[in-house]
Amino acid sequence: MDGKTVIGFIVGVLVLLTMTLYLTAAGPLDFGEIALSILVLFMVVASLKLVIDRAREIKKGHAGEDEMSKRAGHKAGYFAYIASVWVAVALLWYNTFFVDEFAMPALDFGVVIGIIVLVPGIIFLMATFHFLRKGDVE
Amino acid sequence: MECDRKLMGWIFFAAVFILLPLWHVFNFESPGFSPVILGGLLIFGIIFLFALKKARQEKKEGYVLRDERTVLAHFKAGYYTFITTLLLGFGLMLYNMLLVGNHGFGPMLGRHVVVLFVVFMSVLYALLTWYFNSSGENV
Repeated sequence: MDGKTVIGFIVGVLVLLTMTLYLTAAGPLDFGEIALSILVLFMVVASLKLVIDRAREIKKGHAGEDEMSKRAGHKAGYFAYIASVWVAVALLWYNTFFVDEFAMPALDFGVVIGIIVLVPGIIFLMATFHFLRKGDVE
Repeated sequence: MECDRKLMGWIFFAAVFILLPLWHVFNFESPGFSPVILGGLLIFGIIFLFALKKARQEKKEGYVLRDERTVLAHFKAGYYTFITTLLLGFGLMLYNMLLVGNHGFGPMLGRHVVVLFVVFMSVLYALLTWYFNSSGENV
């Protein structure tokens, strides 16, 4: 296994351990916390699958990252960037007009960052899987 | 010409969609920011008009607007902007956990964080696209 794979594996396991500790210590969770935990769990499992696939490829003697997987990552990153811009704009609308004009509850700092990071992150992982499977990297 | 109109329509729609809440944030809460925002918009508007003029000129000369190399430059710029956005989110989380309330740093409001993300991502993406296009360093 190369350095990148080992670091990816260690980070994934650490995040899983932290989540387990948080969930066991937090007590009863509300809907938002459960949804957030499921999103994080999905991201960690998907990332670990990518890391394990890479480790298998290296074990077989192939390159860990060929040109196609690099391009698939770039294309998925581009879509994740577009998604993050629109997610941010949607949050901007919600946190200004909807909060001020319709007295809806404002999203605080942590929730905003969580949404801006998690939603595009999931789109990035799903798009990477899709482009790698279909080979559609042009 | 039809493509230009379509593009202009999309840009107008995106600008209104993004700028209305921005105007709402800065106009009502801190009026001092409005000239800065307006100045920035004016500069971006001028850059956009120059880019559009160049694109039209190239189209007239028979070049395609987005060849494979340009598309790859956009993909690469988007990828690095996305990764940097994740790091920015991580940095802001650390700011919130370690600095707010400890060393005289004030808490940030959710709406200010969103404005920061939108401006940061747009500027970084534009700069990276320009860099990858001009350096020819694609994949």
